Amino acid sequence: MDSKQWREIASEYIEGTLSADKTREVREFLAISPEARLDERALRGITQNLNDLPDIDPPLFFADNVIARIEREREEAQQKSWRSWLPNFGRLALGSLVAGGVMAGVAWQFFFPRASQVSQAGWVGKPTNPVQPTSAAPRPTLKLSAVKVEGATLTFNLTLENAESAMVLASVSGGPTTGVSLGGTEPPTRPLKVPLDPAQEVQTIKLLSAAEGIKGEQWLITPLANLQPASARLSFGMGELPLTPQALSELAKRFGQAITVVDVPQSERRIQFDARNETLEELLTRHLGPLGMTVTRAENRVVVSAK
Amino acid sequence: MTLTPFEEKQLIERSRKGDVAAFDKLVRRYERTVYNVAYRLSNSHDDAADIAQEAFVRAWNNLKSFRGDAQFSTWIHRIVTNVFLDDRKKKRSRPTTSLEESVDLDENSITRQYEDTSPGPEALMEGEERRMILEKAVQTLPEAQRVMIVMYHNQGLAYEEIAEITELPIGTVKSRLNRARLALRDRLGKVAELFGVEGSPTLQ
Repeated sequence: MDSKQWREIASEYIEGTLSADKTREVREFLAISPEARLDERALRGITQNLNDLPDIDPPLFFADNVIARIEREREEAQQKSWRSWLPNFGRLALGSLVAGGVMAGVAWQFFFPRASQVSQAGWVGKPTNPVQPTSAAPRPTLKLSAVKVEGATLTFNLTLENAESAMVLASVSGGPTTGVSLGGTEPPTRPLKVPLDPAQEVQTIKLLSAAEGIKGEQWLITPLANLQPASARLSFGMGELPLTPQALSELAKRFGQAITVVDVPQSERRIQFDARNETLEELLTRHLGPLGMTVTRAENRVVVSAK
Repeated sequence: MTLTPFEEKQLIERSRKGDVAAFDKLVRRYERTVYNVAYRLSNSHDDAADIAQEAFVRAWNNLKSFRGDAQFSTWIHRIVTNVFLDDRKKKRSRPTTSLEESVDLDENSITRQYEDTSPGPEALMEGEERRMILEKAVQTLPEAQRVMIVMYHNQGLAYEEIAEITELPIGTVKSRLNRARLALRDRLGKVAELFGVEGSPTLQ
């Protein structure tokens, strides 16, 4: 055997797939060739190190972005095929029809405005003479205690501050809506029990509150399983994320953390997120702090609120 | 996310009929695999994200041609590899000068190295640096050899699977992989010896 022949079968030798005769031949050659011995040792090391290269996490919301692109392209293709069917005068007629419809819709909204979502959902108590907040008066606040999960029920205390009375509605994704009134004839602190679907890994609870003319919205996202300690750290590449309670909840889910999002409205705004071996709180502070949002930790949750 | 073969088959069937929600589940099942192949081939997070996304979009657009003769995982591996190779072809037609580039992209090509910025041998005591040197060396391989290294070592695929993905005879897969390992050994030069493992049969 010579060096050239050895190199041709080096991989098979280190994988142990050579015949017994060939293996003996290689061993005899290795015994007399220091260079081949160095080759063999290096190849084993390289192979082992290649096998040990770590797996890389895909960017945040990678799958969401793929699906969004597929849907966008499908929509574009459908529009294109529709347009190709319409002759020019047809397009003009359709355009006029759409414009007319939009104008009629605007006029209808002007004369018959729709009630707000909260009052539709069930305002209890009399919204007579609602007091608008002034800069001097402290804003009504709804505080949540630590969340406890017992069986298929999630329990927490709600405390109303800086307001006489309030109504809070908790709606669970895909589940029933539970309501509780605070203050007035009721104590300002009351427990709220929310039934959960045990089949869901994560439950999203939207809390709608109304107190003295102020409507608030909080999102409480509680992973029921795999809750990680607050110190859990992650690293992942840059990914785009819409600035919405749902998207923030996806981020929290990735960290195995519970999160409450206070008064962060649905928004079209998108933010580039990455994680640099940091906790969820550190990551959110780094990305959302410059946007004027506060990130704190309360009990067993990270709380994000618009200032 | 794990799927049983039956669940996967059902999702593929629904996706073929245009069910995006079903395809979403397939994307979530394979995103890690596809992203890792794309990253190991391109060695860039930006390129990997583009390549992996393009691979899934191509898979969606061509689902009708997937007859189920092969495994879905084999099919998606083939697509991501082809997207990577197409991407490189495109980039070659708009050449830019990089510090390290392949002179010829045939598998027997020699990489032109302008500067070796790798740490000295003493730094190899650190696993992280050893990993970086190895990743860098893999990037200097011709694409055909790099594909073999990624499929076999990073993805843990068998020769038969790699042969199916690359549509090459098993013998060619084996010889390309052997050449790729030897090329790495040669490119790493003296440094390669520090990768050596103790206790190999000939050293005992």
